[in-house]
Amino acid sequence: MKESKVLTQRVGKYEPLDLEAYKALGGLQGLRRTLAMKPESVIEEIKKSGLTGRGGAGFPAGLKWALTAQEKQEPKYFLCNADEGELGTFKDKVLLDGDPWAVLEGILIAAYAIGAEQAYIYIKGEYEETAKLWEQIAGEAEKAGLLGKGILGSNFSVNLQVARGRGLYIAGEEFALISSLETRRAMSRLKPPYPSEEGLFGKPTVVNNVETIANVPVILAKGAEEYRKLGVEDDPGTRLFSLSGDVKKSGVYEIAMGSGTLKELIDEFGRGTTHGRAIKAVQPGGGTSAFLARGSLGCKLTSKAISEAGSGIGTAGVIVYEEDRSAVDIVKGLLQYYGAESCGRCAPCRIGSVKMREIVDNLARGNGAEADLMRLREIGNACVAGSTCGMGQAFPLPVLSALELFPEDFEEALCKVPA
Amino acid sequence: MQNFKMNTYEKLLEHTGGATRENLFGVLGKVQDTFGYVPREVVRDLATRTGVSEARIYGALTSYRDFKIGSEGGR
Ligand SMILES: Cc1cc2nc3c(=O)[nH]c(=O)nc-3n(C[C@H](O)[C@H](O)[C@H](O)COP(=O)(O)O)c2cc1C
Ligand code: SF4
Repeated sequence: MKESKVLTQRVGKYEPLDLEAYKALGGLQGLRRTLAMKPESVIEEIKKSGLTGRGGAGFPAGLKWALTAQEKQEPKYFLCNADEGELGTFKDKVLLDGDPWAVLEGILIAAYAIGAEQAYIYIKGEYEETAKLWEQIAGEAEKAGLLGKGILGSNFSVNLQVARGRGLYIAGEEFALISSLETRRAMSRLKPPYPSEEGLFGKPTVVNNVETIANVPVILAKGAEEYRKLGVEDDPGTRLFSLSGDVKKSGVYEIAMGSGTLKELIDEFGRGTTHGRAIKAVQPGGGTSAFLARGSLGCKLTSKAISEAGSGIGTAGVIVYEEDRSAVDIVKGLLQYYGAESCGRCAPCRIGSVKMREIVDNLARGNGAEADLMRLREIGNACVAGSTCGMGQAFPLPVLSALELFPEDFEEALCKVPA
Repeated sequence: MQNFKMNTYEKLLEHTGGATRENLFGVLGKVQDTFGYVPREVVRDLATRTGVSEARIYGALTSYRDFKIGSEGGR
């Protein structure tokens, strides 16, 4: 298996603030082409490319833009989601730090296509240096005529605001992100109305992930047809896989969809497991994705294949666990994080996340009872079925799949003598 | 608030092109990053400038892990 460096082609090749170097490496071609096109044609090109969201939900980007563009209300907003809170996911940072101008170019193209004059980038709080860099990028871009009035001599104008997240995972969810930028608590809500109808300050809004947006200049520069030469028919292009956990070499690897398997990714890029032990399980789509057991590792790296294997590609954050780990301990670690992040809107998620964490903590300490396993299933299923947003719908999935795949670990925890 | 802090805050506002409802979250963030907390005087001033109520600003600030609220002398 080989890497296909499309989005990461310039990473490490230039000083992040050096716009001239970015241009010399082929930058701004997509934007130049865009400014000579009608916004509808830009959206058409993105639709043809088959680009889907890389932030977890996989929604078609072109359709999202079209729905927002067609709304009559003004102004419109574009939000670039750089909150990157999902466990085992650190690929957006590579683009934000390594090729910021390409992300900015994507933001400009998106804003042009949907008719937004105000764009925001919301950067994860922990990425302090990244946020500082982006403040500088915004300043440089203004000086170079890439932000503000009349971009590159056209009559298109847009401003960019750089905001930092303030330590809440839920703020990465699109409605929570919107309410955060409205200076409210970060909370999700029921949809519809979708952000395309009622988004930031009640206006039509597109929220896109950093990696999604980084694809945009490539598509506009090369054309959708050329773009589709990588990847497979129903999953075109590449994806940035964040590989971590029990592997020798964790990192971010850009792979053309369908060009390899999970096992190849782990063996060839991860150089195998940390202690050379067999793999127990993998989470292929970040910390809220269901586990895949060893038998599923031959699974192709496409959204469809990973779903069919019983999980989801999510953020493409592949977390590897060696054989000697107990599923109870793994799940305990995950719930330590997610169990403190519910926004509190829906009872199943608000109460369920804390309860599940308590139950698993007890199990891990040797204080569990048989009935706890049933309660975990019940609460987990209620949460998945009765929650408003992706948080409650997804965080129980690893717990439920662990109960399914590794019941013996839970049995063992039941037999444990309390410490 | 001490004068030097007020000066820093004024400069910060100049740099962001003033405070509006649209950039309030970002401005509060910059205040937090500059002072290590958000002074109460600043909340009051930003409420006046943006028309967003003090109650709502406090409601938001207290819901995030990384914002701290303070006043001169005691935080
Ligand atoms: C709890 C939760 C957290 C999320 N965090 C992020 C995030 O940090 N970054 C991101 O891009 N999307 C995140 N999402 C997905 C967003 O809601 C949204 O689908 C995405 O930003 C849309 O962009 P895309 O279509 O380009 O993927 C999160 C979703 C949920 C439910
Ligand atoms: S599922 Fe959880 S995080 Fe999402 S809206 Fe409901 S309570 Fe909030």
